[in-house]
Amino acid sequence: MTNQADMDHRLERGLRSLASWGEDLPRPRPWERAVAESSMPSARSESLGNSGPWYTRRVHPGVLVGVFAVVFVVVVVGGVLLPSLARSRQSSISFSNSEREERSALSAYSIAQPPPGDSAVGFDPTQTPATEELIDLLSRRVDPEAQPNTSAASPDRHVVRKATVELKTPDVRAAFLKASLIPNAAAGEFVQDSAVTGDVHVSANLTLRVAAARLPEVLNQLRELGKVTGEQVRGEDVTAQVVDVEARLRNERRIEQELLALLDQRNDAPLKDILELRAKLGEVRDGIERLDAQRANLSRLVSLATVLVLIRADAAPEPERAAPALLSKLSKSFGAAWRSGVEFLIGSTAWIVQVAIGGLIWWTIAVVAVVVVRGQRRRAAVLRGGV
Amino acid sequence: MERTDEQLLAAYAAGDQAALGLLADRHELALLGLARGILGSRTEALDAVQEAWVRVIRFAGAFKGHSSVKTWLYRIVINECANLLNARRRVWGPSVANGGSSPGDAGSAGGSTASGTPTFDEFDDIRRAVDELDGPKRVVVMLCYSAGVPHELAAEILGLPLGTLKSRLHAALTTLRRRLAQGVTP
Repeated sequence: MTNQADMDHRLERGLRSLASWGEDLPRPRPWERAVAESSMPSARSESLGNSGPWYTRRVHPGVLVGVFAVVFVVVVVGGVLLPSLARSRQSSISFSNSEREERSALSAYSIAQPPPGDSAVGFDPTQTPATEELIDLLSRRVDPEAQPNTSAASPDRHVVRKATVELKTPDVRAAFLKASLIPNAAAGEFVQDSAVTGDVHVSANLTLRVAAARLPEVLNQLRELGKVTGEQVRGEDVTAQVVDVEARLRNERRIEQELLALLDQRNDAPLKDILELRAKLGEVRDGIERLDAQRANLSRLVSLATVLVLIRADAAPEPERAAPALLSKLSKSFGAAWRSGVEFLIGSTAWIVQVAIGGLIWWTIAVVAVVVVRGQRRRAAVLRGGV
Repeated sequence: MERTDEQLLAAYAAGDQAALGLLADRHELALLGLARGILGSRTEALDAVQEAWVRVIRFAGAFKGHSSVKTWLYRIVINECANLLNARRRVWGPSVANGGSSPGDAGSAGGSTASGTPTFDEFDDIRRAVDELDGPKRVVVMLCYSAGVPHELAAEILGLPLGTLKSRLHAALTTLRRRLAQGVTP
């Protein structure tokens, strides 16, 4: 007991000795050195970390956190968002290109089909309406009654029009038959067809040629055959080909006339020369026939629009079932509620994990910022004598 | 009539340079002792107290009087000591950070062989045992054994309830006794 008390006594004296400085105060005293240090602007600013080269300065932790956050945002924006934006911009550009092609096709169509009083429709080829609107415009601006002539193309422009219509209908066979009858009424012709029948997959494809001026009317009739899942109208300008064929044709005919005139004038020429002249005349006439055929074909293509009709089977509507019993309805409701609950639980868990892991850097920044700010505030409070 | 600490600080903030000297005359010795007890080094204690005065000079005008000036001064010194300990730990690692005292420091304060006074070896053992305490316990022990710091003031300085302070002090002393009993022969 005495030893314990003695040890406590010694410990206390030792601790008091440790926590004492002695009587010899240093010269200059710390407060004097502090005054001297504070009175020197360079020393003071140095103590604040504002002097010397930039790489030797002390940086406030908050500034570091801010810089880190800015760098992170720049990296994220530059590395993730900008490429994504660029991708979406590219897809938008490609979409615009397809729209532009569609618009040029329609523009060519409008040039080839300038109906009288077109300004009343208000059609502007520079606009970019959606496909449905384009088809609608086509339907409105061409009046079959007003232009019964199939060769409605302008003498200046020659456009070959093609359309594709995709349909879904529960009764493919009926739609196929109705579609195959359309050319008869539209001064056109039935070109090609194919049909696939079976228990599960039933489909049919038809290629029709109809009078170009009646294309909108035909499209309207086709739309009534089922649910339209896709529709496309395109136009190809063949004016250059037509002009070329006609020029060559005129030239060949001129040569034919010249050869005939030469043959009339040289009745007394040797037989060999006459035979050569006739052979040459035959070649020229062959050329004229070919060019005539080409021109007729082009004219036919311009006057008749090609329509490709794709008919697919649509799922037949399910027969109405009898109302389920109350118990089974209740159990189904419970089952659905249970599934919804489980899905919600899984979804929310996945969301939490995603936020926790995906935002790890943000959490780190936030924690560091909170720690730094709390440390600074605590220190500032102590220095102000608060707490 | 003698001015209070608060009046001296206000006078210094108002431009009376001599007031700071009077304030230092009252507290500097105790602050140096506390810093030395916490840090175990006279040199570092001088640095800590000097830096504390720098802060006092800088923030004298911002002192709002939520606590006494004495409390404020002790808090600043303890914070500076904690900063130095942290810096020491970052540079040298925890073992060196805890064992920061030097024999010269110990010898300067110990060494008396008078009856009831720790001998040189005893003082060195106590120093080592204190250095092995963790930071908060060391601060509690040194603050409570500093001259002129009753337990109530120590609790206020550390922002602890008095009971908590006493229990921490008791735990720290128990640890010291055990270590001394294990490793030291008084």
